[in-house]
Amino acid sequence: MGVFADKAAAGWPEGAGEASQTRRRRIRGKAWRVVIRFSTVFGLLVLTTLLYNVVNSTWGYVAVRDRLSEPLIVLLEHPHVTHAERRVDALKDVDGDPDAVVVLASELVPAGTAGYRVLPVGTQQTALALTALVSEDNPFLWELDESGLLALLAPGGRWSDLDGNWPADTVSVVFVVDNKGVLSRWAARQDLPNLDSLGTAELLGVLETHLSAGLIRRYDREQPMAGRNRANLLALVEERVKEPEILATFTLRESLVQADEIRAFADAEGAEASFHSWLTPGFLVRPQSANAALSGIRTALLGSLWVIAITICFSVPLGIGAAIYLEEFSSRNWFGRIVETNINNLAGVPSIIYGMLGLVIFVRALTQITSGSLFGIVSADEASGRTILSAGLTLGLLILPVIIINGQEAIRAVPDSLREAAYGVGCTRWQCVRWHVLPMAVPGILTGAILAVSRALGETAPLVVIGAATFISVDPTNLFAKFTVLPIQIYQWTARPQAEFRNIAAAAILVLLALLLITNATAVLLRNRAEGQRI
Amino acid sequence: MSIKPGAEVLAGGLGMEVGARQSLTKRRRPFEQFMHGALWLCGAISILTTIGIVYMLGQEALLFFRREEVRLLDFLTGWTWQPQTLQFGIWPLVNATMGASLIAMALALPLGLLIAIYLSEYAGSRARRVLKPILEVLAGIPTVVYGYFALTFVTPILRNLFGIEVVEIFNIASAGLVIGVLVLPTVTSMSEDALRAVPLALREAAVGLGATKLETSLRVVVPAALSGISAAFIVAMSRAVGETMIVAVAAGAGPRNFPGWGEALGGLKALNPFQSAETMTGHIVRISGGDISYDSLDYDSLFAIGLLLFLMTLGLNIFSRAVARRFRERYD
Repeated sequence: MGVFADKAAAGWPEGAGEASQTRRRRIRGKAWRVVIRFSTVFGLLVLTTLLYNVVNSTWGYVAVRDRLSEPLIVLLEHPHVTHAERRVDALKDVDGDPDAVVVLASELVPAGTAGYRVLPVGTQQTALALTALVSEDNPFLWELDESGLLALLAPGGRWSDLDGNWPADTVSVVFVVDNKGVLSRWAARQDLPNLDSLGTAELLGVLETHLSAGLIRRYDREQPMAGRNRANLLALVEERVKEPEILATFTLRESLVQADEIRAFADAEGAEASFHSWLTPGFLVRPQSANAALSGIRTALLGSLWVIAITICFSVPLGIGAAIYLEEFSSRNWFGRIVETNINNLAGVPSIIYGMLGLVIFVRALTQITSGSLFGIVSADEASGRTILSAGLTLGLLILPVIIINGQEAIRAVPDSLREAAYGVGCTRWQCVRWHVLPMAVPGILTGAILAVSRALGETAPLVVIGAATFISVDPTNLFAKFTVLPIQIYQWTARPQAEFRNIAAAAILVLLALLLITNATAVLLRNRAEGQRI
Repeated sequence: MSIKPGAEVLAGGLGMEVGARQSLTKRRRPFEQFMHGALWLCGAISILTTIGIVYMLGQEALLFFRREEVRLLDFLTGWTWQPQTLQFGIWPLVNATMGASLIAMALALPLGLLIAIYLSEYAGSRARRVLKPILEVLAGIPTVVYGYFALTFVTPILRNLFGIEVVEIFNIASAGLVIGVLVLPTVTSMSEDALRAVPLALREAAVGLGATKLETSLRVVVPAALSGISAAFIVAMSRAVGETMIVAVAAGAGPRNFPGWGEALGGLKALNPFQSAETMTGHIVRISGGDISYDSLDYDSLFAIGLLLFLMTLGLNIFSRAVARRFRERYD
């Protein structure tokens, strides 16, 4: 009572004043309620934005430009084109040397006419003297149709054969393959046939024209070239000769809203725009590649599964054992208390410190074991501890405290009456734990363990520190193989400057999130079952 | 558990003789002892881990400080981290770490507390059932995904807002904000636990005195739970300090060096959140991710950083538990 009297004396409003003050307090309460609600929506908002951001990059238009367009490849295979002219590498020499291009162009432009002129090019240039330069400065050949072009390319052909006004000089052709794909665009305008028109023998010819002898030998060793079917050869030509290069990628939103602009842009650049899904079944099963469009996550996915398997085998039994010991055997003694405090501290250690621990202990100190040289898997001189085994053990140490803490909680939830009954009928401690406490606690323990494992599945930093491989395309086959895992793959792709790697990083993120969703859903199901059973 | 096995009761109940009872209690049980030992070993592994961490950090850091190129004083006060020129001043890295963490806390602290207040004081059971799993999902997303998010979403937004000349592609602000989102679930769930632990009687008393819901929450419940809330903030801070992948992806790949304290603090250049800078964790990941030879100066320097990082996070964690214990209000 006294307090209120004081308040009133100190100017607690009465009557109309009180009413207005109450109103003000109510309004303030309502305003804050809005603020509080809004902050809560924020969490939801972040989650949606994050997913939107990933999905936005996983699908969308891609502008692809081939290094050599299909018509050009076909054209270069024409019997009239001599072998030397087919070698695009040789043609590229002009392209690679800016001076040579400038010389060619400057000698053309003063001619001022249609852009043809006698040009002695290089030392080997002897009798064949006339050169047609195909470039932005010299577009006159663009109007030529196939028959006209073939007439030009025919050995011994003369300019005057095409047009009486042109000089009667023999034609030699130098294509300047510039970076903008002028040549390909030019070939595309000529209405030439595409690769589908080529048979097996011609495809072989294409490969022999454009690939080095060494590379052909390598492919031959993998599988004899002559014995390959048409689809296989076509795939090789597409990968090695056509070499599609991604010019630009667009997000899903851009693709939906600005499709016309994207197509216009692609046309202007001589590229082709098509809607592309970066997440395809092929993406899951292809190994890593330097080309984003051909790259996949097979190695990383297998690596993740191997590493997680080791982690589970190592940390789940140990963690459950420690939880049982702490809850059932030592809850009161000094050792138990020390372990308890210690585990709480360990749970707060940053994951990167565990990476350094793994580096020092598993990778360096225990090299003989973790590299497999002790078991004769690799020889001692090339022993490296940066293996799946080291990675799995490091992650195991990392999640051990989490498993122990979750396990303790699950065991603590088992009612004491159960233990009393067990001891009452003469159980020893271990019998009580084994036959009465554990069966009750198992769903809870497993839930905690699965949640911890899912954390290990997404962990990146410690594995970077112990030394994940930056590029491997061979499947891991044993514990002592070099490794990479899904999160590391995502990290490496995100760190690349090219936009298309961001897209495959997004696709890989979707795979990782799906994986985590599956593990977490299992945990939730287990938890629900456990709650249904609880006494 | 403290219940003792009841062998005597069993023996007595079955009417056995005294001698038999004796032998029953004293019987050697090799398997029992084996299991006890095995489980003890499991518990001891965690101690071994701690010893391992302390030993390896201490050992390698000692190697670093023992080298004649390195001076402890320069390490603790220097503003240039440049192993090529043998300059090992820790402050550029610490500064970036603290910058990112403070930005993270500036986001996570008010937001986390407000969400916790909502969940504990305002939300009905249905809203809680929907919201808590969402927060759990946020907590379960791998940090490298957050890094991707920072680089491809938050950074472009910041650059649009403040101008491309002002905000660099890699910057502390974007990494800090996303770390804030990352630690948000930690702040929320720990604060909410603290708020819910406040006895109902306190709220009833406040409402009985005519307080509005807001006044009850902010002036009665929050102060009563302050120890738990502070502990939550400190734990979140420790997580932010140790966070690696977000800063590795989004904050930049090179320490922001200064010749000395004057240059760093003059014009507050060291505090600019829109420039790139490398944190302690970011530096460790970048250097160890490249080809690094063991026993090199670079390699040893990582452990000196690691030791400092470990001490910082351990200190924060211990501090948080001390706060929770020391300032806990007791109501029973």
